[in-house]
Amino acid sequence: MRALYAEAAQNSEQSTVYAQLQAVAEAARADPRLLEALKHPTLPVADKLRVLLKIAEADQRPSASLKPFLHLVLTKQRAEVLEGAADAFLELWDEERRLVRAEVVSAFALSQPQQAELKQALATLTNCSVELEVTVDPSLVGGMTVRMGDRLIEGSVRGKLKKLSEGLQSY
Amino acid sequence: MQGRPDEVSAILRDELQRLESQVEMVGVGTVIEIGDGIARVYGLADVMAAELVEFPGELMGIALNLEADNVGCILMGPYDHVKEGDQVQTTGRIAETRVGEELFGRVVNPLGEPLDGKGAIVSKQTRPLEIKAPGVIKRQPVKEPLHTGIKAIDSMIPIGRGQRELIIGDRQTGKTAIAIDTIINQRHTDVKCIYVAIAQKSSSIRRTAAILEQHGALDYTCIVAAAASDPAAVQYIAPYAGCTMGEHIRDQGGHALVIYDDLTRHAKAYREVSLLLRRPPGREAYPGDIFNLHSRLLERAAKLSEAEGGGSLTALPVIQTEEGDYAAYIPTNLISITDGQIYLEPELFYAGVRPAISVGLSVSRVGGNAQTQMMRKVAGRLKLDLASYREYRAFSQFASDLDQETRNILSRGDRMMEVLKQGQYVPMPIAEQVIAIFAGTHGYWDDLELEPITDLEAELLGFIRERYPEIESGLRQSRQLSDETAERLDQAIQDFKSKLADRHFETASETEQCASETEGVE
Repeated sequence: MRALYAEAAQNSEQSTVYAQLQAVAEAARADPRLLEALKHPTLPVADKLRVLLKIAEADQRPSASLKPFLHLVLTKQRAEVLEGAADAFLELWDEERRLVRAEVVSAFALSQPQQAELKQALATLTNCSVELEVTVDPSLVGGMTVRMGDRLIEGSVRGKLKKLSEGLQSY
Repeated sequence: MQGRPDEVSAILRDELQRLESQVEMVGVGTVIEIGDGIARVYGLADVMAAELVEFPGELMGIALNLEADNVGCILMGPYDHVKEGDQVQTTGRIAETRVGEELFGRVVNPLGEPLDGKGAIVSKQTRPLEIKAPGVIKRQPVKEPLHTGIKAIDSMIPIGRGQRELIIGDRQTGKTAIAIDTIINQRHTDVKCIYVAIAQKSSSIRRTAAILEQHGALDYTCIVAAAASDPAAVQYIAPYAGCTMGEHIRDQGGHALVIYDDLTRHAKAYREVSLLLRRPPGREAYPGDIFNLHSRLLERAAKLSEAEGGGSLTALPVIQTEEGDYAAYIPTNLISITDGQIYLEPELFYAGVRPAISVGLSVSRVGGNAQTQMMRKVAGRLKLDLASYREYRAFSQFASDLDQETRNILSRGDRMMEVLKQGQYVPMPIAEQVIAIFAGTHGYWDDLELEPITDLEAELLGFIRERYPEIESGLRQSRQLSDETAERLDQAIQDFKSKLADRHFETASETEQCASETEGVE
């Protein structure tokens, strides 16, 4: 995956490649028979490659980096990696761009200014640019949780109540 | 929860206060596998090696295996409530335990939590379990004695403060007994004791606590208990917890004694944990770092230089051998790490020699440097004399007619062996030991039968305490055996023996009278 990313970066076609990988992943998710066929040992690699490229390049211009990658994957019988390929690619791309995706779950809807303030605070905290994905979950009762990769900021009332109950139970 | 209402509200207030604290960012991961006391966690990208991680229900774990795609954690308690998919979070603390004065007089688990039902422990101080031992510059040679109160040890295999002395022997040879007696003997000293019970039966641990309490020793002792029913992970950290508590005292200029009972079981617990974490097995399936496991633990027992406060931590690790095999893997590891060993032999034990210490195979690499002058004076040649005694003994099995010199050596040796026998839970103060050994080495028992010697020795000590108290107090204060004191001691013992002879004479004549009376009746 790093090799693919390096290639894509060199050719400055990251967004294209990403979109193409997403298309493949989507197709695989939609019909499980696709992966089965791709993994089938007796079907010729050339045919599989043709099908994949058709899916990938459906709405996009072809990219230089994708074809050799797909060929390698098929030849080495590792078709199952295609499911997670798009996400893995995105991770590397984010790392290079110093972009952090923050999953924010809030008890109440956040206004635009609030979201902007949060975005700024997180950007200062992580020293990266931040993209928010905001969802609302009333069961949090109040406050919010922010998850960035493996790091979590637990600021919800539900979370605090849970900690309180666990603490009391330990006596 | 305890029933008292004011305690309940105190607890509630405490917990609510914790809620008010700042919201902070923690590292999180997800449980992907859990079982056998081990959990594998996906995520935890920023976790540190040996960091404490928290599982649901306030269950703590230690992150030991930092692998490419998961983190292997050992669990410090019951984990029935944890499932795959549960969240795990980092605590920012490397594995640590509670330390401080409040731990003494208590029985705790390796995390410092009380097990004796005597209430919560107030100590807020903690210290990491693993820490680098003091470097060479910070140390000074061992020079003060640590008296076990056991004649055989304090005379010929003396232990000093800051030393590591291994207690090694088969099962049921008296290893723990030596440890307990040593603790009891520290009662009127400034040495704090820590007894780490690793994988013992809970009933045994309970009994040990009761015995210590009975002899007034529990007040200055902390028992760190990781019973056989506790997870292997808890047994693994137990010795480090005890060591950490002792280090805290050492670094403040105090003196502490830590006993690891026993490291054989500790090695087995670590092997279990390592194999479950799929670390490559080595010899006898022990992991490759089994030596380092014990060496880094024992290196932390040291005597610090005056610049560092002059404190000390003495370690008495215990190892159990199988069928006397002290050349086995773990025993040889420990022998090479420690500053000497006390060998206990089952043959001696069953022959009535208790403590069953093999004078020949036992050694203290610190030796006379840490012995008081008076003991060094009376016991100086004892080890060598007993060695030649044993040789003569072996030889005399085959010879029929022995010359007088040989007979003398054998006779003296037999009597010294009687002198070195000692009961359990009666450690002897060093001044009394000097008197006891003096009596033996100066031949005062040579003309008596072997059997009564133990009782006579006790009588002699009582006699001297009563009639010649200045001898004992002199020895205790000066710690020297001057020529005057030696002369006085000679006088005292001769006095004792003459009174003894009178007594026998009286009883002998009584028996004669009885005999003549009955004769008349006939």
